[in-house]
Amino acid sequence: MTDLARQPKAGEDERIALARQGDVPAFEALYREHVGRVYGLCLRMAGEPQAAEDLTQDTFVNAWRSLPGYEGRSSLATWLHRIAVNAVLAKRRSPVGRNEISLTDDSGEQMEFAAEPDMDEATPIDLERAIAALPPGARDIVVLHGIYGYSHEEAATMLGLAVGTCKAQLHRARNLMRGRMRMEATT
Amino acid sequence: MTIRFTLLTAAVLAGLVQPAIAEQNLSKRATVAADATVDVSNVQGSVKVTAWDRNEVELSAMLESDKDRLEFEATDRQVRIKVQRPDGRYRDSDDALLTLKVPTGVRLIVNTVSADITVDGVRGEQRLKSVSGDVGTRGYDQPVSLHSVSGDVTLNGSGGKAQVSTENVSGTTVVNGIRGGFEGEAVSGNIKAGIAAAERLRVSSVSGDVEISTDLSPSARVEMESVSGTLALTIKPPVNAEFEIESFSGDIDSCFGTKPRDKSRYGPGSELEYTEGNGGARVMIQTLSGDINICDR
Amino acid sequence: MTTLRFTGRNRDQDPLLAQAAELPKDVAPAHDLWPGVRARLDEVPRQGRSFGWPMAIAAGVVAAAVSALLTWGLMREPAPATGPLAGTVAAEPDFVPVNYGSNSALGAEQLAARDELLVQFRRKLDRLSPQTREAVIANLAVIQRAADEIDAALAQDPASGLLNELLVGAYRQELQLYSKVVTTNGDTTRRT
Repeated sequence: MTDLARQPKAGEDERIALARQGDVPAFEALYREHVGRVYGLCLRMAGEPQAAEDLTQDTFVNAWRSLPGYEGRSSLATWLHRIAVNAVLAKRRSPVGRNEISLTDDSGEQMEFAAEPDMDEATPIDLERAIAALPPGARDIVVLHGIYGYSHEEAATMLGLAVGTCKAQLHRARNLMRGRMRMEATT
Repeated sequence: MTIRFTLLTAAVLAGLVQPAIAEQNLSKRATVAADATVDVSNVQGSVKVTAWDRNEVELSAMLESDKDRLEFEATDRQVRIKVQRPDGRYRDSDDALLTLKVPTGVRLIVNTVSADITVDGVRGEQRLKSVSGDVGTRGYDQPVSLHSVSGDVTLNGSGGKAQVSTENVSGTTVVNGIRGGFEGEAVSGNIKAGIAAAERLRVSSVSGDVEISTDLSPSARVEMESVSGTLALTIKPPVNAEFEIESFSGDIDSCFGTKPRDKSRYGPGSELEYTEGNGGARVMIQTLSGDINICDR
Repeated sequence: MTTLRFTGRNRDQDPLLAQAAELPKDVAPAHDLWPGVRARLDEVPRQGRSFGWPMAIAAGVVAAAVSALLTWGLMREPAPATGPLAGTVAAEPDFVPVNYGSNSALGAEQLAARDELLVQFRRKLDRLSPQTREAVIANLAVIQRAADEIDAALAQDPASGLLNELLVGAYRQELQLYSKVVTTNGDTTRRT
């Protein structure tokens, strides 16, 4: 029955229409619906939870401000992700942000290859940790393209990069991760 | 002379053939997934749904009119039951009484014109709507949405976290035993609700009176609005909330000791803004001429 | 040197990316972040009050009612073969839509959006029992009385946010009343 299948979408359209007019409860409903996806992206791109929480809040506050300009050409989820990516990149550019979300441990050592002295060659590193250990440029593309399924073109637009640069970053990411994870090459 | 059993389509009724008497008694059964959707439409009479632990939908239907048709379509994901009335009109003594047993976890949608809807034990999402029938159910953890125009709407919760929303026009709405979230609207009907650990509570009426009894979670948001209905809010202690209360011409009475003040030296209206306890929750109440009462007992 | 070819199907072909695609897209934060968001919304310049029913909500209310019609497929019903001209409705002696008076912020455009609903509503009203018809009409009268009260109050305090919000709320109730009657599934299409 098409009307059953369409009801959730109709509900979200109503909520967006109300939130655009400033209805806070409607915006809260949209928040609850999308916070998991936004936080998931912020967490993987920023690499640590406290920064990801701040970025998630920034994203929704910015979304509230920009909602009157949301025309619905892309899905709300994608639109929120764009705002989130902007928030992450802005934070990285700021001097404070650079410290917060770099991958250094307390003593300032790069955590890119987290020491696991008793790890033997056959143990694959957990994929999330492997992604978190990537340098930011490579990590971004793995998160957007690999986890969230955006195309190269979409990811490039969101990151403000050329498509070729994104593809190169992806190539680099795969090499770095493959090394960590001792994946068998498949034919 | 050919007697046309226009009412009985073999494909629909799976071989049941009825003699040409006025009343139709029909039974149907289907095996379904535990979380299938069951969608029921009726015109007048009643729809009674109870839950059982079989993965089957069982329907017993008694149609007083020989002109009404029963449709029953089932896949394992969805059962669709509809009483078709050829001219769509209300008539006396043409009730269609539907009794269903469904798996506990189904998503239940019922739509009637004047048939009463009674549901017990369904734990999946429920959307129950009638124009003039009464609507009654129990709530658990999945969302429940109840609508009527002139019928009464009743929900007995089980303490579960179901988000409940009700819309009524002139009937009475009574909701109790729920926790978490409630949205209620009425035009002239009264609303009475008891909600534990309220997170989000939003009630609106035109002239109906509203009585809410609740305890507030630390970040609760309560919004109550009426044109001329009386709004009464009882909050179980401890009360930690910011209050923003406004009425154009109604009386504002709070037992917390604070008094409302005139909104402006130059115009009408009175308002009451204050914080009780350590704030946290937010309570916003506004009326045109309806009186407002808030208290912790 | 291996030439690596990048195509849109990388995720499918590359086992690492295929694994990445399996990672959960939703991650719940350890804390409820909404209070922090909510606190900052007030700093964002917005029209209307923070009550959540701001003055300009009428367009959203209409959108909701129209959305309800779309959901139930009623906007796809064929227009009657003969009938009143578009934009006008046959006169019903005991029913008129609510008149919000001269002081309201509800514009002609927002009120005009109710016309489509009214066409459907009048058809369905016909099919209800007499008692229900009476209840519906009586409640429209309740909404009209409320609109009159608000209009009179607006004459004293035209800029009042409270009054305009209540007026828009009454309009929303009116539309919801029409929608409820219009979206009943219980009665049937005509059989041929």
